[in-house]
Amino acid sequence: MVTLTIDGQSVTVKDGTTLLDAASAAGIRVPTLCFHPDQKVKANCRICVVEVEGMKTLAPACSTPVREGMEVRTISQKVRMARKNILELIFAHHSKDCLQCDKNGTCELQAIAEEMHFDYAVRYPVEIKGDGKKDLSSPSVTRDVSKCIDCNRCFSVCNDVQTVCALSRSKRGYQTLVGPAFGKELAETVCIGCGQCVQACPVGALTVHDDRDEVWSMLDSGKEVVVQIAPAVRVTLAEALGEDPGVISTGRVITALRRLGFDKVFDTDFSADLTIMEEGTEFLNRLKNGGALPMITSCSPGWIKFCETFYPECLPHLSTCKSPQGMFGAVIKTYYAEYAAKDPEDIYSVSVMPCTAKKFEAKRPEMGRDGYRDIDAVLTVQELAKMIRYAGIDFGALREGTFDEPFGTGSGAGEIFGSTGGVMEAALRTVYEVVTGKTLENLDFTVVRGFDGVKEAAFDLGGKKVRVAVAHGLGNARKVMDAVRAGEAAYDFIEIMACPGGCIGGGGNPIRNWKKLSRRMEAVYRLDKALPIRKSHENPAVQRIYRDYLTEPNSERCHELLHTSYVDRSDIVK
Amino acid sequence: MRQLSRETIDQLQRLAAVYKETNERLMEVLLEMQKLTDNCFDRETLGVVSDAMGIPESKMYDYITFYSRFSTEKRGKYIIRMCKSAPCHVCGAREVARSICDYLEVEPGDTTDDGLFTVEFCECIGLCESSPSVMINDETYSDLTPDKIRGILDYYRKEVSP
Ligand code: SF4
Ligand code: SF4
Ligand code: SF4
Ligand code: FES
Ligand code: FES
Repeated sequence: MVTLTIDGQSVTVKDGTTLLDAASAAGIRVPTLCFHPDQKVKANCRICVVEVEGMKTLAPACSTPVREGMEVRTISQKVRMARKNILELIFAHHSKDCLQCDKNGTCELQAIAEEMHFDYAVRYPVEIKGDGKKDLSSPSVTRDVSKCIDCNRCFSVCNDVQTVCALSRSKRGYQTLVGPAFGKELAETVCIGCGQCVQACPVGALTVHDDRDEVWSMLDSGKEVVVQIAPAVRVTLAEALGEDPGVISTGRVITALRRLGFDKVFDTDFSADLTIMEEGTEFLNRLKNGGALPMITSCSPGWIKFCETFYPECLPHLSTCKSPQGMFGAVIKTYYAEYAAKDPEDIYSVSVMPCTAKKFEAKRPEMGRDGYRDIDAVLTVQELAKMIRYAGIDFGALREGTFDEPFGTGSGAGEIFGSTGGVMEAALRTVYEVVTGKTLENLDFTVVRGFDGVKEAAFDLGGKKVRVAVAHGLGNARKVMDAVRAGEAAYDFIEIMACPGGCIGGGGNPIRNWKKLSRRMEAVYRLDKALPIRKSHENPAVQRIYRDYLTEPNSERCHELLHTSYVDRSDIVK
Repeated sequence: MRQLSRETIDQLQRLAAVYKETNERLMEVLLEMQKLTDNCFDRETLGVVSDAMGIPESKMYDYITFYSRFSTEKRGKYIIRMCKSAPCHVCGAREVARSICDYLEVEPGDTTDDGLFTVEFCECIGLCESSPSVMINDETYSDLTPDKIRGILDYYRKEVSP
């Protein structure tokens, strides 16, 4: 242990602690920008400088380790002068149009400027990057280089965590530019739209591609506007509206959506259950008929695009099932249209997702038929939270609503789709009972839960051993996929989610870190535990749609509506 | 966009294979490659190179744009790199630089219309004892004066590349 003094307070911390954490232990928050709690230290912004007795220059708190007896001052005159200068240097390259910025009110830079009482002129020549145009080319992520402060947080997550490497850096010093190589637009790169860079960006340079305006206009259009909400949404929306991470708000989300003017509110848990029926059956068929194994889940459209781009030779391993969003989209415009006696043309179908890649999925040509789209618009949790605020709805005071029929019920199995390991666990619950004909004693497959990057397990399915793996975050997926490609993967069934933590870590959620993620994950399993039905095949709405419309899992009609195909996108890498 | 010839692509791929085998001397390999491609790694070239080396384009681009010896834009056949570090500076580097630019009718950073020369500044090249110094491609020239450098440029124009 090391004892030091920070702003006159003695504090004792572990050896190797940074001044930033030591200050925090002493109850002092030092401002940071390039620092991110889940990333390695970059120390390039210097806003965190502090004064250390005996050191000639100021030290960046985020990268300076504590030493015994150190005397640190975090808010001396010298520190304030230096920070002021740093802020000016940042603002010399930053378009300060907070009013028109997506991050207005949630921006880390704006908060620092406010704390520091930034009311003075910038003494440096002002040179804003870019040509004043935003890059709107990606349906998932919007990039505004005029806001970028070169902190490298996006670069780090895209390259190190996701290993997609869509973002590059160019030049050095003042000319540094973080973004796609050769100034390309995001749509011209290998970007898979996961939105993890949006989660990492401290400012308004990378934001969710915003589709609010279109949805607002459709709410008044006279069409029937239906909406589905994904499992993760109910555990992250309250957080986006200022409540604690992990607060469950299913009933309030439903009421809020009705208030906004959505005609029908459906539960994506229903189509998650449908996914389990289809995927479980597909898996059993592959086992029986010698199909491509391991079979890999296909619920995460960011992962799908990653596989199409970097592992095209492994596409036969992907389950042909659409994601729950995709399945629901098709069901709404066919089965539901019939049920409600509507022309599909007169239904506008929205989904609320934790995921930016779902915006891309909805635009894929495979997701529609007879000239109409299955999903007309995808809103992320962030966008819905803003709509609720705009409508002046007091979210905390809402009464609990219930989902609309004919998809009113979802199971606990659908609920846990939101977390890494959830799809696997949900599938195991159903597959086990189908294969053995026995009732599962213990529904909790805890070995596939938690935040380990790659989780492995083996289960006995009525005498047949099934080996499974679960990976979340594309860096972890890459490890598993290298083994699959080399033919060395000793698995039968793999779940892959593009985002760290699964959908609760999706790019469209409120900005997060691992600490918040674990609160969200707890909430997911709390929800599952509390539900009367926890197995997909026991969901009465699912049983009904098979009886009335789809006949049986993997039937011809199921294939037409609920399954899809993939394309080789490796060209873009070459 | 420029199209690389089949032959150039083959040569690039051969060099890439050398790197891929050892994972060493990336800088040297890239400098060698650059000689084949108008002294630049444009989109097409970098695409070929990163594919052949198995390194993501974004990482190659990061590397290439970090070092001033590389460029992503087409440059002249001869790159004149004029040292602007202190020792050269105090020995008259500025006059030498001016005379190079005037003689070639370009500004630093530009390429002559005939595509022969690109003029750039650089940091110390390690010949401070006989400053001012410049490099022209891999050759170094020291103890320069405005007159002397004009003679050298003439030599490149007439002798090396008639
Ligand atoms: S990025 Fe932050 S500081 Fe910059 S304009 Fe947007 S809100 Fe304002
Ligand atoms: S959306 Fe994902 S893949 Fe695309 S740039 Fe951001 S982090 Fe990289
Ligand atoms: S885009 Fe955002 S995260 Fe990336 S370097 Fe710029 S400011 Fe940082
Ligand atoms: S936060 Fe410490 S240098 Fe950026
Ligand atoms: S300063 Fe010019 S060569 Fe060293």
